[in-house]
Amino acid sequence: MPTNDELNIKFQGKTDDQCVSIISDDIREHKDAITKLNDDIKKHQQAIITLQKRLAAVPIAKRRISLEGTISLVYKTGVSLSLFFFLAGMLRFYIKHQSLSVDYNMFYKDFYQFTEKEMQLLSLGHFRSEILLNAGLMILLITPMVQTLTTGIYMISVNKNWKYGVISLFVLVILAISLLLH
Amino acid sequence: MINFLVVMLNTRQSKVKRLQSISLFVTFEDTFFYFCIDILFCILYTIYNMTIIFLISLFAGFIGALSGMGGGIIIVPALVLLGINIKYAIAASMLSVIATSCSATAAYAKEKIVNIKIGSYLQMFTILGAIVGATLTLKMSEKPLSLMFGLILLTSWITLLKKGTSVTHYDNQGGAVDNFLELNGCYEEKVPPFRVINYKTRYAVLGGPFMFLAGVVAGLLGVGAGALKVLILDLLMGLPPKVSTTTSNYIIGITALAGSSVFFASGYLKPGLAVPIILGVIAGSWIGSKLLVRMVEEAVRKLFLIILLVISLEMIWRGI
Repeated sequence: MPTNDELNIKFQGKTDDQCVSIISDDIREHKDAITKLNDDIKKHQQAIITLQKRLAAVPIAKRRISLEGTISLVYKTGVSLSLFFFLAGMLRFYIKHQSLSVDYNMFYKDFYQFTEKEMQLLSLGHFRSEILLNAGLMILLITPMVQTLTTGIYMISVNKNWKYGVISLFVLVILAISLLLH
Repeated sequence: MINFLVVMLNTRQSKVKRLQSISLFVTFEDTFFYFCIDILFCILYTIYNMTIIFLISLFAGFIGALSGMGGGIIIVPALVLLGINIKYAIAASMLSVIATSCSATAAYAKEKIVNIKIGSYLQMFTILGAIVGATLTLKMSEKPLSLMFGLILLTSWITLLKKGTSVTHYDNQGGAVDNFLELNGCYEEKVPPFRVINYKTRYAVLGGPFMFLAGVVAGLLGVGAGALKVLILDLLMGLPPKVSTTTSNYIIGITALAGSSVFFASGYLKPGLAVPIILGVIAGSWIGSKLLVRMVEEAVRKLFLIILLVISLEMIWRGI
């Protein structure tokens, strides 16, 4: 916006008609500029829509998600699934016993025997409250392992970072061995 | 109070006994009435009992996610005070540490505060340490170790207190190992002045062995040793408090999982006790992780200092 002083200099020694003519020209110029800008905005909006359509056409599996985003997703899924099984188990126990005092101990040789037996029971369609609660525990315990495996695969396949791929898989192997302890 | 809770834990048994005694003296209609009243009391007792455990776990998860320590240090003494056997309490606490770690890391990873590379590198050492510690448990006495652990934490507390607020940048020079492993990163603060904080580690070559020792302590004492891990990341490797606590949260889940297998064979895992605790810590750590993102660095450091002092004194008390 021009200041009053600038306008005074611009219109100095000019008749009213000349001033009106200058102002009309200025307005026309500004209107043209606005029209151009609007056209540019429309073009850019169309370009954004085209890019969004292209992105939507790319399968989700092919889209690049950051490592942190992937890890967050793995943890969220694991925690949500285990919460679902815990709540389902508690609800089922309550319906059967009219109480929430679940009282039983778990005896397994190690983590793998626990996982194997639990998977067997679930695959056979047994959904007793104890089995549902154990399934929640199993998913919670498996989640960090899945996350470590995901990190290793992501580092090797997406980031092409062999150093951290090997480190993550090494962590997974030690973790797998440690779960044999009893 | 403890007797009251023991009665509540055995509500089903007491219900049957009470019903047997009641049925000897009253008519069927009265029995039905008492039966309904009894069920109502059972439900109230159960809800009360579950609520206490849930609230303790909620607090533990909240503190655990904020400080990077897991929360087991709150759960174990609280459950023991409620009259629960310490071995069952430790087993439940190990599961709660995994739950806290998973829930909090999900939020921290989304905000890109946790450093996955630093975490992965240090996990190698801490898991090996946890395995060594777990195998040494039977051969070593717990008391001198608790005392030593407590004194280490107290010394670190004094060092952290003296360090104060002087650190405002974290662009350490880094050694050959730090550079080779690309141990650097950045994160954006979600509070004014919305700075982007760049950081780089130092002494990664020492960080590994120290994490191994932290893992040994975790395996020996049956704790997550999150306090030691935060200290190593903060004091030794020179990371910002937020990155230290979030990366420690990421590491402790894996360490706790490595030490959890022994509980399957021991029979100390009680899902009835563990499940309400897990539900509580997941909720607490979710709230804690949302708060930490919006906290200033200095507040995180002050909170950590308070919790560290409590833990160190508790450990010294356990060791005396």
